[in-house]
Amino acid sequence: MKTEYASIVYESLKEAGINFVAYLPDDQIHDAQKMIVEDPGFITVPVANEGEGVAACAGAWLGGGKPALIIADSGLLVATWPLASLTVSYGIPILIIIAHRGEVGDRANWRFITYKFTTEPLLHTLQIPYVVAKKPEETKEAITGAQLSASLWQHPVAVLLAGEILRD
Amino acid sequence: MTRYECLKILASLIKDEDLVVTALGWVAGEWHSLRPKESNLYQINMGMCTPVCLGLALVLPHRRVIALDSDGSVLLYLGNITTVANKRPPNLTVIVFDNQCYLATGGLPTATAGVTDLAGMARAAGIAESYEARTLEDFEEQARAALSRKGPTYIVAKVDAAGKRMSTGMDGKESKYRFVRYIERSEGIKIIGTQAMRIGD
Repeated sequence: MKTEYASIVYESLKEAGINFVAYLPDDQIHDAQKMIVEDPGFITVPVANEGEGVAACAGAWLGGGKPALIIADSGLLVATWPLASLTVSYGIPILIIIAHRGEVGDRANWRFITYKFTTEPLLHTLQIPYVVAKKPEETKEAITGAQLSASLWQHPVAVLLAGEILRD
Repeated sequence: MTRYECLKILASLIKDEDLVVTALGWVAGEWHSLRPKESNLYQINMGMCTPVCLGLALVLPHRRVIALDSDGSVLLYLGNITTVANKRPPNLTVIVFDNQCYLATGGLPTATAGVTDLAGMARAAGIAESYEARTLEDFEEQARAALSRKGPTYIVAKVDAAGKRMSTGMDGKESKYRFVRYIERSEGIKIIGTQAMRIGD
């Protein structure tokens, strides 16, 4: 991700009112993760497993925080248990930012085809609404809109960052 | 030593405003019968009780947060002890009721029935104040110290594989609303509703 695009993600999260971020470093989005970690306005939790990240975000919301989980497609697979049994079943709004690879035309190797088959179907199965942002100019509205809907619905909502926004 | 006996001691030591989150299983009903306060959140599913408490403790650093977790639950997301150790929330107390089995689902053994030492693992992960309690006197001493300490404490209470089947009388969603409304009142903030988002209806 270009530094200017990482800034868009970081600024959009601030505009959405996010003040708590759990994350597991990912190659595509680590520049934005680093900006967030370096800003004392965010409480940040680097996790060993995206599942505990979901639970930490849920705890933050229960205490009045505005949480986001920033992960890769692989992290969504790891996080499915707490997403299903905590955030969806209790109705706990967390914003999930996913660096999404594996779309047709994406310059991603053989490993990433898995995520073409898993990410969107999983979100459907888990009943987690999502929006896809591929262009830098779409990103702010996607993030602020997803956070608004999550709060209004008391439900997790995801933003898939894909395509141009992820490119170096 | 039973979990219920430990919970009875704990209930006598904590303040009404202390936030207590229970794992899934009979611990929720047992705790509710002893301390039926709105500052309790019940029945957080496998693996998530302590991580939920970590999030709570970090956003409410002036409140005491207590996790009532279990061996089966913490073993599912064991990496979380490294996260707690590195974040070091000063207001977090984790109590793991280690009955060495999956009691509520039939009683088959967990790893702690074998050679695994949870308190030792937590200490090695970096939670310096990690202890094992095998008697009620020990438990009370450790719980008292934890509640007055600035720094995370991890107490592994070795308890009998026995529990009381009791109900909290509410499902998870009701427990959530009850807890969140309590936080809103006690903290003077809005969490649910359009006021929380500063937008019009």
